[in-house]
Amino acid sequence: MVLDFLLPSPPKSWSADKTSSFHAKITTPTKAAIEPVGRHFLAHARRHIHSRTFSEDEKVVSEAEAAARSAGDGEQDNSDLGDEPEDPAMLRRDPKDWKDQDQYAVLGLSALRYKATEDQIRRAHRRKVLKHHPDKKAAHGGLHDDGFFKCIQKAFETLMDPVKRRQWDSVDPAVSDSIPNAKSKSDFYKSYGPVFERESRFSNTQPVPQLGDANSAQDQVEGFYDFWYKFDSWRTFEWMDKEDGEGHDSRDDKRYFEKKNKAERAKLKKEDNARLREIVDQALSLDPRIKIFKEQANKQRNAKRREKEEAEQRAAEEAAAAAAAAEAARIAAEEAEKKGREDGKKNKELLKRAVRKEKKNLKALIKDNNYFLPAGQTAGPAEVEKQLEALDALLDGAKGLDQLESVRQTLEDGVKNGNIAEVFKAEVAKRSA
Amino acid sequence: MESVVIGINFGSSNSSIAVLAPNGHFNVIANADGERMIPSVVGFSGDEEFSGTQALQQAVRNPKNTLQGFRKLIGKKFEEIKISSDVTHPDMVSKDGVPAYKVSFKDQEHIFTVPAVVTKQLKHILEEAEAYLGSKVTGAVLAVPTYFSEHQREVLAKSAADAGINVLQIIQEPVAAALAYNFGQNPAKGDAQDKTALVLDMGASSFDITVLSVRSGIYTILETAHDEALGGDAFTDELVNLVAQEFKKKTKVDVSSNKKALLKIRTAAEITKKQLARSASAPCSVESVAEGLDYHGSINRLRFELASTKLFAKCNQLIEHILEKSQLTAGAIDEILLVGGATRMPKFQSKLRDIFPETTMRLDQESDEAITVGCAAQASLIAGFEKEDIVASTKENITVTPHTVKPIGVVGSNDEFFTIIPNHTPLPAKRVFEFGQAAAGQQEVYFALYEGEQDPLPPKKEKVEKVDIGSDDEEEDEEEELPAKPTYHKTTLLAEVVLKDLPAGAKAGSLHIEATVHVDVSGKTSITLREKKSGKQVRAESA
Repeated sequence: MVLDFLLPSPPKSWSADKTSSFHAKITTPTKAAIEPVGRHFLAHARRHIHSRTFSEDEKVVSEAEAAARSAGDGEQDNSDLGDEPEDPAMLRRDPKDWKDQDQYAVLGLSALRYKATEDQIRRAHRRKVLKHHPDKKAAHGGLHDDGFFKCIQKAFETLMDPVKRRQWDSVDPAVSDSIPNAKSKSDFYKSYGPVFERESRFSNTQPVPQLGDANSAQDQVEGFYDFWYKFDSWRTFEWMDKEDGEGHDSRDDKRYFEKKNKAERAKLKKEDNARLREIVDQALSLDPRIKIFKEQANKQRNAKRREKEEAEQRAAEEAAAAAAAAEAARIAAEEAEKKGREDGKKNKELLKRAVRKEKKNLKALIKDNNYFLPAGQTAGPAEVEKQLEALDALLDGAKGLDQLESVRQTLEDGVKNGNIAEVFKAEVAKRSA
Repeated sequence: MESVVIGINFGSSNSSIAVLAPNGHFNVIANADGERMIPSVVGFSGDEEFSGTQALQQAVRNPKNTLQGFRKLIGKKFEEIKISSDVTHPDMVSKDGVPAYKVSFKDQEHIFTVPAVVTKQLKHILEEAEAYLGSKVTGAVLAVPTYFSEHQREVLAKSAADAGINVLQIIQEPVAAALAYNFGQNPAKGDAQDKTALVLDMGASSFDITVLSVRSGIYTILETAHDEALGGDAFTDELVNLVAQEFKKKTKVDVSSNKKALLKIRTAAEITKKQLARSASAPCSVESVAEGLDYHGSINRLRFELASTKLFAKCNQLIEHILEKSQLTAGAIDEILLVGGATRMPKFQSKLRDIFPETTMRLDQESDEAITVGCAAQASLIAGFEKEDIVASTKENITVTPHTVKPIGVVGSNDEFFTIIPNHTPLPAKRVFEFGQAAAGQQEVYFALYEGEQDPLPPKKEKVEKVDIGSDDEEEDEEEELPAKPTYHKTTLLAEVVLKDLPAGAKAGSLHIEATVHVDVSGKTSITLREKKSGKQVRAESA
């Protein structure tokens, strides 16, 4: 309640040392019933029951509310968003220049940037809105200034739209584009690891292999460089487009601007690709692991070569030895053959003589045994002829000296046993079969 | 268990139920017949027992077994009540001194006491609410008229408990309505802290007026008046008479003593009356009024209003009576809260406007649902409390508190009195307000607190009833007679306080002095002056 009149100075009669004086009591109050209804009555009852004064009660209630609020906030833990101070210059920004504002800083996400999740952006936005809503400011006696609130809304719009967010992330000036100094003596993994991590955000293929450390396996390292040489980046430079001003609404102007922007974008993209290439080249050239791998490969190659040479030598020696042995064998064989040929002639003759002797023995055996006829029977020429033919067949079937000998043995056994005729017949049948 | 609380307006003619909707508004819910107004009627027909809409539908056929208007009999003794025994009313007997209805039900004679009938009706209401909500109702707030005695409240509470309702609280009807209108409940948001309202509740069967003051959101009933004969039904009666006369003119059949015919006309007239609140004329059709003859006609609003002139005059009398009794001018009323369906009548509102030309007339709440909504609002407010705490908070040691008799305030430069704590303010009271500073470079400010008294009312001019309507002179006269806001003058100096050593060299108006005046239950006053910017302050307390 504001009373629109001014307080006067004390009257002249007022003594300087006094601050107050009470003159009369109010007219004795009358008792009456108040209606036990509504929240103001509840407050009255609460004050009465706990015998609190107005200000005590306000304090207790506001504390309870604050506790309830903080309990409610507990459900939404914003600790991951951090609590960064707001730059006063940022608060004074003109929302018209929202394209140039740091979209993450406006929402208080400078620490997270491209790593902020959608949920985090949402919560950060909510937090900022609660703080900067024009109604809220007006309630606290502030000016009805919604400049920064508009900035917040613009930043939120940008970051919630995946396309726009990529455009912004592509040109976010707070994330460095630098290439580490190739001559720097600092730790390779420490200086290049974050660089590759930073550049990973532009990859169309996720997850992106990272630099790793000194203990990474060779195939991992090679896979890493392979990936980065084939890096597929979505980085885009539309954010840098020059706006075609309000006045240029003719088609030609528009086309001109479009063409210019497109060329500019292509140029920037080319530069960016070259930049990335340089980073990868430089990393590859400095990578201590690659050096080790190269040495290892060299060593291996050398070892292999040595092995191969040794093997070749060994093979040559073996071949020479084998050739010498073969020569000796050939000579020996030739000699043996010559000797054998001479031996063979003599043997054949001996064999022939033996066979002839054996055949003669057999014929004699047949003749002695009366051509296997029963005793007393004189052998007619036909009989003799027949037995001799059988003998010829037998002799034809029994080749070689040893067979002839066995036939003769069998027949002699038959003579001894007296059944020569049957043995002969069986022998003939066996041999001629 | 989650608490599901409802507000019940158990009216003498109609009842309704309200709940807090998820959107934060209070919804009046419809019963199974789709009606938001559930007739307070219980009926017995054959083997069946009806309540609400269905009971009313069979009322014409079965008046002897249809019980209506039983609310006003709650807690009364049989000897106290007036019994109208004819074919259109059920028979009444005394059962241990308690009035009871004698009805035939299931081919037998049954006697139901008034509390038992109330239980039946409330049980019906509870069933409708639970059917709508789809869950058990854990508590309800009911409202009663201001003239209900403590005994009547107890009987109602017991009947409700018998019906299975957990009664959280029984509140006064005008207060419930004020709560529904959110009257003075947001003192911080530009709404004045201290206001006085006239709650006009014209339901079907009675006219209740309450002068209600709100001080920092707390209500005090200053004065009440009621007329049990004045209500929507009385207006309907006038309409019934009109139709009966017309019917007689057309058909030469007199139905003035034919109760059944009158009942039929009444049903139709009720609808016609409601239509007349919206349009200048409305049709009225009754099939087979008497002797097989139908009535078809149209009633003009002006004709209805002329026929009801006496009733409107009675309303005015009652309003003027209560103003006089509470020693208030029409200008002292800040708001008029309209409650009950009958207050929708355009003539009623225009008559009010004549008496209160300046007063805000609140129409933002469905007038016949205001009490229900207020009950629901109170129910949802106390739903979280333990029953004992609610009972404890409504005990006399808390609800009866000292109120200021005279306004306390400060005096401006030309002896003008600004009220800080008005009369009828429950104690303890605390008010915070702000001043500018007198002049540039002023280093001491002087604050004096006075008690005041209302200036004598302007002599009341006798209103001359003018016959000719619409003359320009009358309007001019009325403008002269505009009831003024009450003015006050200082009577007693209560206290003086000086705030010293304010920052030197301040520009005029750059310092803001905040004064806090606190009066406790015994009337002890304490004053704090504080300069807002520097925080320099002085506090003084009376002995």
